[in-house]
Amino acid sequence: MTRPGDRLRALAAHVYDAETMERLIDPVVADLQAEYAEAARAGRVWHRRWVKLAGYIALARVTTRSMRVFLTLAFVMTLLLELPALTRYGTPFVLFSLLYLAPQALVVAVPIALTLAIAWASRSARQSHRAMIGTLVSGAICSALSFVLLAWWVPPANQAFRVKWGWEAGMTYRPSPGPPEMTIGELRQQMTWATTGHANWVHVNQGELVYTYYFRLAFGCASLSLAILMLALRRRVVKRRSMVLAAVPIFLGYDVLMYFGRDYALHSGVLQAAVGAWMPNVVTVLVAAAIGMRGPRRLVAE
Amino acid sequence: MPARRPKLLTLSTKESLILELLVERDELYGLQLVAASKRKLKRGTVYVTLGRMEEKGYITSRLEDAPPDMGGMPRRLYKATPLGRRVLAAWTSAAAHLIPEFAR
Repeated sequence: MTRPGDRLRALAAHVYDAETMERLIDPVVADLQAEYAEAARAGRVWHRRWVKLAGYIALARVTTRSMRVFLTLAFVMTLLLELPALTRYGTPFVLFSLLYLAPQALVVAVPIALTLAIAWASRSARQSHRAMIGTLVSGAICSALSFVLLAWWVPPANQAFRVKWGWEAGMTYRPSPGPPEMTIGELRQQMTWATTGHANWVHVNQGELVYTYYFRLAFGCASLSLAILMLALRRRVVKRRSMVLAAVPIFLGYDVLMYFGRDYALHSGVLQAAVGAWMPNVVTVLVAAAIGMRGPRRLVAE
Repeated sequence: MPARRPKLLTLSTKESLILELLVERDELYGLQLVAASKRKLKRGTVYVTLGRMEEKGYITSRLEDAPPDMGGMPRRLYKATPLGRRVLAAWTSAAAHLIPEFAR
């Protein structure tokens, strides 16, 4: 017979290392099962249901701590990134701007929040293979979600904002979408037309099309999580504060490279658009590899 | 070169409450701590705090001797260590000197 918490425990065992299971997950499940058995013996049906629910909530709270930190940070960062636009467009635009600019702010906020959350969570004295894989999978999932956001959600939201803002400002025509306002399919179509000598749907710079098409920002989550993981593995003693402080120059460096990549590729013409687009990710992965090649110190066998 | 300052042992409000309960009642389960604290401790956070306190060496834990008759997993019992007791005593004494209400 399956006892309450058994299935969730089995699921958690795939994610967490033995020490975390023994110290955190197992005590919650054991207490839940003991309390549930006691309620069942007493024949208190509603109390038994309540015990089960409260136990599951406790288990969820224990297992999703890092995720809650990540979600809170992502929410706060998104609001902070939206502040300049909110102050610029004034009070009548607050709700409207919050809604339409949120996707754009979210794709920048997610890599920052993920880097900080990984730094926050890597405090434990032991780093297992399972924890390492979990971190990398989190980075990959966030990258995939960011890509979906950038490819299909951000462009229409950007365009809707421009149309609405233009209409409020008294513009009599509908602004044409530029590369940041095109979905991945529209960008691909534009690039095909541009390379085959056809007239563009709208007049856009070829370099900007290539730069935007690569959606390099989506891969930031994967490269940044790799860099912060390598840093955590290298340290003998990992303190939460020092890891969070170490994460700040990593994502700031990434953002600076992104700024210069765009500037050198699109405005100065020093770099090719694709090179400028990928530069922050390539440099971050190289930095992570350089840290990792010195040999991970804290990785323990399970 | 000045000597490096030794690391100060700290005790949060939750940790101090847990230590008080464990000193008073010797050995308790996580859920018993939640019940004894009159809901000042939450069942979703108590296990994380207990894990952290064990890392700090304030408490120790063991799995209960006999498995429960209903066949559930063995429960974990927590107990204050001598270090935990000393830290709690020092913390309570310091609080008595530092908090104006106690100092009067």
